[in-house]
Amino acid sequence: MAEHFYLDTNALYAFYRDNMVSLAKHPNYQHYQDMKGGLIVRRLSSSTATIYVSNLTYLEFLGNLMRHERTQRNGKWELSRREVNLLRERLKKDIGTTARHRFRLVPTIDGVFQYGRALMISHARRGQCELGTNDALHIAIAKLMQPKVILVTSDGGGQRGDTFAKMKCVCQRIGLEFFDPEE
Amino acid sequence: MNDYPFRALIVDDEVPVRDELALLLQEHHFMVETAADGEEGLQKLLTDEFDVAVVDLKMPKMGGLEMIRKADAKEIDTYVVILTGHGDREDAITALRLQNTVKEWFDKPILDDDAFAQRVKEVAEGVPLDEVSKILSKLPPTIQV
Repeated sequence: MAEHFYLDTNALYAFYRDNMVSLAKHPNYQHYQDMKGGLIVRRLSSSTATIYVSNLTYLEFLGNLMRHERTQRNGKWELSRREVNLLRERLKKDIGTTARHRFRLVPTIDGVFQYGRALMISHARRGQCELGTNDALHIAIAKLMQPKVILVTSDGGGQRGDTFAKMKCVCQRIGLEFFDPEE
Repeated sequence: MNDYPFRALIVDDEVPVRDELALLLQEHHFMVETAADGEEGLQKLLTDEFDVAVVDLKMPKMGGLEMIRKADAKEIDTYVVILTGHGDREDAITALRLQNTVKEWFDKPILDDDAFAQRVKEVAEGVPLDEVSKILSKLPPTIQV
């Protein structure tokens, strides 16, 4: 059966950082694990899966690159201008609206902000899932999208410095299927 | 993406050159469209999607450089390989310097088929994923948003 994945920003980042190995950890795709990254994603997308990202994913990813470009560590910029330009070029080529793009851009969905607000009210309070603003929007997009998608999130709790996995907590409560390639 | 072949647009006013290059790229598994001048090329770039455009500089109606500038102004992000004839190498170098989408140029009179096809393929592919992974591996494993 065709599967559709929606990547949050950490998942897209992991995808590029580990050379596309992340999704091959999904139980349905483990036979891809021995392949090289680029090939994995080509097979995944061409055979069964469509991999979606949103403008929020794209924007957060770019924002993260820019932050590293203007941050110094030990007297050196974390990313050079040239490196940021290369990454931008890759993203521009990969993200778009057609089947030819590696990552399909989610079209604008009505009601995302309203649903995001509802998620915040229901799941961001003390003693609940402590959902953050952008994470609420990612979940809202994934939940409202057609076709149905599996949210791919590296919301690994401790790995992100959190005490527990906030997005997954909400996904479980609202019945949104998710997959964490880091688990 | 995809097991789709790369899509190339060849823009050249000389029919034999156009046909020869189209055949060459098809042999290297490209899907090829052609245009006879800059106007037709621009129209195709605006209405269709290509991984790479191979563009002659000297053409009637609209030259290659003008076509590339207009496509860039419309944020068409198709990468371009320029073909030069006699006397327009300076224009090619200018385009390489000024237009982000222009990635390479070749001299038509001394074109090496294999080297040309290989480079067009590299340009169509874009920044290698290994290079992306290498750059990001310097950064923390997760991002702060």
